[in-house]
Amino acid sequence: MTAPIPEAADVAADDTTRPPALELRHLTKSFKVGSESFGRASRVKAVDDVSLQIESGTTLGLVGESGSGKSTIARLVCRLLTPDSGQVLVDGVDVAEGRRRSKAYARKVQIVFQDPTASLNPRWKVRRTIAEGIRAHKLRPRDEIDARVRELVDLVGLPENSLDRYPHEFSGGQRQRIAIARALAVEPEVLVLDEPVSALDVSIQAQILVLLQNLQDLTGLTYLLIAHDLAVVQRFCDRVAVMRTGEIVESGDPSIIHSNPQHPYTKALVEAHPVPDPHRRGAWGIKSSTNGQGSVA
Amino acid sequence: MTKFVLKRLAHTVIVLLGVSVMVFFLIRYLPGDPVDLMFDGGDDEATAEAIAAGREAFAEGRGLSGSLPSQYFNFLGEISRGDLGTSLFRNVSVTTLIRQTLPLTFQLAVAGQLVNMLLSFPLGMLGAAKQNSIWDRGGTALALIGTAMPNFWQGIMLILVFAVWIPIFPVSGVMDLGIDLREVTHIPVVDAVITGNWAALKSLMMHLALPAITLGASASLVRILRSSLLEVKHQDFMDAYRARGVRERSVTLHMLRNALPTTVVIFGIRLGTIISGSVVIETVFAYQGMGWLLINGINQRDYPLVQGIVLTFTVFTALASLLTDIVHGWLDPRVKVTSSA
Repeated sequence: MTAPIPEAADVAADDTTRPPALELRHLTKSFKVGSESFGRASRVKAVDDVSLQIESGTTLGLVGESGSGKSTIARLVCRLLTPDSGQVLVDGVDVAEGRRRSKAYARKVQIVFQDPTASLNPRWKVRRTIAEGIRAHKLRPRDEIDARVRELVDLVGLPENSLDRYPHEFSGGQRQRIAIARALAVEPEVLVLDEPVSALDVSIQAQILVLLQNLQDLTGLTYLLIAHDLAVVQRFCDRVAVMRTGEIVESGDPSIIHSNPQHPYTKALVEAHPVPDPHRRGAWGIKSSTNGQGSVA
Repeated sequence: MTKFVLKRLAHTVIVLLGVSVMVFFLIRYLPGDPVDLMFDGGDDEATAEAIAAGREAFAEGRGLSGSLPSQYFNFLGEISRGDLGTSLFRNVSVTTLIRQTLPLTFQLAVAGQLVNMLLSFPLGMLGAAKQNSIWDRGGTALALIGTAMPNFWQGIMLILVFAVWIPIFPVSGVMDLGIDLREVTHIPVVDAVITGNWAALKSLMMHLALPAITLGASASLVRILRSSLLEVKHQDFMDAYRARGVRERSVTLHMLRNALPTTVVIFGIRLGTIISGSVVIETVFAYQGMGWLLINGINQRDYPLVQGIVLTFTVFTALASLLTDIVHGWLDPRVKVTSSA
């Protein structure tokens, strides 16, 4: 099995000298809303002066309600959107310089979208979908591409006979595996996961998260995980940042945010999280260390 | 697949049966009788008897005597043997007339659709690429005007401007008289190319231009193509291509491939309308195709001719829709062409 990124072991060694795998500096993006011809056009700041750092091989969870700007950040990081101002640095280098979307940048940062039904080309068989990235970046000689595709399919836990099937022949979880394999095919350093499990059944969510965890252990990938499910974030992330109306209101260790949220919005978010066990309502999460506040959402 | 095609062909036979009932009885329901028309103007006493005898013989010979249901079953028996009867006034078999005029209608329909596509694809793609821009608005407005404008009026205006005021194109007809064209495939344009008869080709093209523009100028595919492109444009898998560093030009190609199935289906559904639309156009331009022949047949109450042409139209519409389904299945792997469809 070929690890896309070989430095998994090195990461810990030179952690101090190494620049963060992904760094956002004062990132700002606004959108025009309303119609100009009716004179009501105005600009809404979707992302307002956001700065973030993610160490190599770790996972940062970005949480917040809909419209808080999480997905805009995902798109900015992947250069699907151009920021109004600010920088996105990968390994300390601003790859955005020059062309809007360069191939070199695409090599380093890849994205897995929320809905694998929409993110896979329905006309392409799995083999072609995965191979396309390898071919586009000329990562393997022509005759080795197929072997590499098989390797990736195996890596994400799909049966080998998946290769000659179309996306619609798979279940949601399997499709997300295809999408992950497609992203890994380019051998990126940073993987942006834009709500990768929220379109899936709860039982499938765990499988995909475990897969992502294993891939990170194996390859030292850096994840930016966009989510609105606090339980997912707590289980999965090394650090958490909470967003609201385009700004980061709080960030830190996931358990600290949980047990002692500072910002009122974080508190509201935590309290809004439904807890299946009535005896633990008001506490948060699955591995809850109940603080006895007992506030009912 | 074979099963699917066979089943659809069986459906077509049922549709044909229904259409044959409709056309057979409706045309006879119209006021006016072909036998009257044929033997009109004879109030001369001396010949009255001869006329009466002639009428009877004519009606008998053309299967117009006896009760309507018995006439219908005779007619059914004939078409099941592939005989569409003989034109009442032209004294030629309907099959021969259709064989002569169908290629002309076919070449007009193809030319009209070429014009349609040449307009629709650039306008639709431009509209989708620059949504809400002046190009987009302009293209959509143009398509709307084209669809809303009655095409016979459009045809008359084109004749007025480009054939009368500025005489670039001929007013009517299929080809200039006096040009000799050897028949190979019976489709004049194809024959002219095969035999290298450039004078004929030029004349054919000049005669085709205005009717084809009239047929195609509605640019009926613009809005369909634009909206299906826009639908695909914002799908995540398009962003997935962009995120992998695929150039925008290639992304556009993928977009087109994915927007095509919808457009093809709409095109196929419209094929039937296109054929019937040519009836009007051919009349306006006195273009001697099957539509023109149909109008003539209706005016003369030429029952066998009208029946034969309407059934031919039906067969082509059914085949077009069958072909559309097959092509759709081929373009979109999510669509499975099965016999249960």
